[in-house]
Amino acid sequence: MKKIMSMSLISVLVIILVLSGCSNSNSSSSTTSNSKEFTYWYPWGGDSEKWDKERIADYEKEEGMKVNAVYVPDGITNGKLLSAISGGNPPDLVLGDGNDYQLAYSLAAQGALEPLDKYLEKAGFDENTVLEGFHDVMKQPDGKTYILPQDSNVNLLYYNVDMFEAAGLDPDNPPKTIEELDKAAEALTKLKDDGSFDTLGFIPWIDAGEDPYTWPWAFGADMFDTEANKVTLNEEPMIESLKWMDSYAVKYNPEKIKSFTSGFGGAFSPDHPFMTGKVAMTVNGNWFANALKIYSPDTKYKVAPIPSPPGGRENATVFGTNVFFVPKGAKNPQAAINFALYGNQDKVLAGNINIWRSISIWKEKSDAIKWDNDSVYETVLNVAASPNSGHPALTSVAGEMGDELTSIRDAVIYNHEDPAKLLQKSQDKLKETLEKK
Amino acid sequence: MNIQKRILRNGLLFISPWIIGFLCFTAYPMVSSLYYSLTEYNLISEPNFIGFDNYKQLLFEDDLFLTVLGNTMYMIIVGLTITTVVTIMIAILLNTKNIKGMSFFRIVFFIPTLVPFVVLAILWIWVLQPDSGVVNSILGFFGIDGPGWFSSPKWAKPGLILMTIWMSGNMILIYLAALGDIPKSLYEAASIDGANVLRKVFHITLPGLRPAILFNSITGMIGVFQSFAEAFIITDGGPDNSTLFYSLYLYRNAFQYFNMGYASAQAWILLIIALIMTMTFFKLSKRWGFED
Repeated sequence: MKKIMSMSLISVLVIILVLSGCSNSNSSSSTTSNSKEFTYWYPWGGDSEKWDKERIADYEKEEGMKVNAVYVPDGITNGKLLSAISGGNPPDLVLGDGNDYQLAYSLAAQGALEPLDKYLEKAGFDENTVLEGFHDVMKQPDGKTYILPQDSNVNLLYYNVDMFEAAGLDPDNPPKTIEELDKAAEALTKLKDDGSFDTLGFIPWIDAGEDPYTWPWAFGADMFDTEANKVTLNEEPMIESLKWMDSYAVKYNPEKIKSFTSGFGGAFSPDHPFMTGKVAMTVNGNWFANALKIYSPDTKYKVAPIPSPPGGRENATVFGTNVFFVPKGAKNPQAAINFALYGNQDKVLAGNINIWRSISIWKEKSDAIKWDNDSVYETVLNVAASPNSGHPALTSVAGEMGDELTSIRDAVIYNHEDPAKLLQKSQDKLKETLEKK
Repeated sequence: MNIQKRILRNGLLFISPWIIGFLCFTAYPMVSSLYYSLTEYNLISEPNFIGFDNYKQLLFEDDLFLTVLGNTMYMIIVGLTITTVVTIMIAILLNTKNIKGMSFFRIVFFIPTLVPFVVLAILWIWVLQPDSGVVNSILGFFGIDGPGWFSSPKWAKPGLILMTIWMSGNMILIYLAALGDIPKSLYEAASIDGANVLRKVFHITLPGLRPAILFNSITGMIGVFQSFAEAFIITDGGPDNSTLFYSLYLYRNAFQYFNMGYASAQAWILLIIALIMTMTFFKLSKRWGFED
């Protein structure tokens, strides 16, 4: 009996050891032993996943490589990546989607990413061929490159042509300044007899306006001084942007607005307030043009750059950039970068760009992109090439900052609190957090 | 080796999968989180020991700590009380013996607990949609202008409470079982004495349900402390931080800001609060004669 028990215990232990041994050797062989192989984490399912898999298959065929592609939704935001890095078995390449570039930048600032310069150089990359607007996100203050953009998205002002005409506004002359925007919004807003909304001209904090950086950026706020490594939330443009949002909250009850504009299905359903005609103007990404084509083909709309106040950022946007990066400890960074540089070429991205009107990061435009004579894409390119466009809050406290700004905005629009006081408090708090990181 | 030792050893061997699992996946992480709570740790660099700074910051400097604690307490005090009252009422109704097809209704009330949490959350975004959701449409039918629910800082938490009640089939089930345990003779005696329904409920049913109420309250309270998914999916803590609950704030610190040390300290404070509240519950229940 005794023997049987100890034998079985020993055999269980042996099996566990063997199994764990296997799993280790498996995972390491997939990344180290073969330079023709690397692991790639991509963030999307659905059509984008299908598209990415085609890109991978083409690359494997052309280059004779093997790409171990793994679908990791929210890979950066849910800690999987950090666990993989600290566990010593990170992927070779990660693609962060448009909302994640700040986190990627923050990871680089905290030393979790591999500098790419030597691999980029070896692959023959020249950073001067990339649009100026992307240089900020690529480099850290130490001058090294940690992030390689794949492609990007911009935000635009969408406005309803029929509603403009009905309100006596000129659809060929969209608002350029905040003052003009407010006037147009006023003219386009219609109330029912009982005082409830029939249509709203414009609401600052829906769609892309909900992003905590969209309006402060347009107003000229910097939020973070990368050179001095300093949080600069409590600045005049930031205060102005919040006060301006509050002016809408004072005029129309924000709870009522949110109730009125909250549809069942978001931007990819015919229930979006711009598509149903509940809102006459909204700020949204370039991809929204295609959503309109699919779900609301009868909506007559035009686009314009996001309006800005005097002294703000004219013709500007906050980019939504998809970024490649290599975690520290990656086994095959060169292969990863080679693939990334293959994957961000215009001809490879054309399939996507020609549907969603996203933008390539390259200065020189290729023939693969088929948006000649498209007025929306013209504005997209115009905004993307603007020196005022960029990536705000490139700092290791970007995550905290975004949540802080959202809470401040809510406190201002729901309770009409004094933005300067809240901003100063947040600035102090973030400064402290920054020092610890 | 004598027989007792052998029995002990065999027993330990048989239970060893659990012991190993407990040591590796519960005890070790708990102890290490206690250590990390005394450090600054972002998963990448080595943890940096800072003593009780995390606790000091959390308890005395972090404004959001009071907000999240307040939100969580609201859900326990207001939410759990309402849920308890409503579920007991439903259980009493479902316990009626003379109506045919009662088992059908019992199933109806239990079904929502079988739906995955994420699906429930998304479903309730629709149900409580301010403009055209079911609830506000029904309210509108009676001429009531329904609130903004998840769009409103005042109504977001009540919206979540409504959702909690809808999915508390488990609680109802436990109350039903407890109701079955109350001797019929008590009701018969009360009837003979001429007691009406309300008297029976307050003097027989509720006292008989005490152990079940205690159990449901404690598990419910722990459930509220852990509640995360609803707020994460439906409101992401907003509007105006009105649904930023303790666990959600802890998650943000751990997995969005990568302040593991701070998040560990938060977790330990949460444990202490839950412990104190559970002990208070037990104490109070003894004083109120809940002891069985």
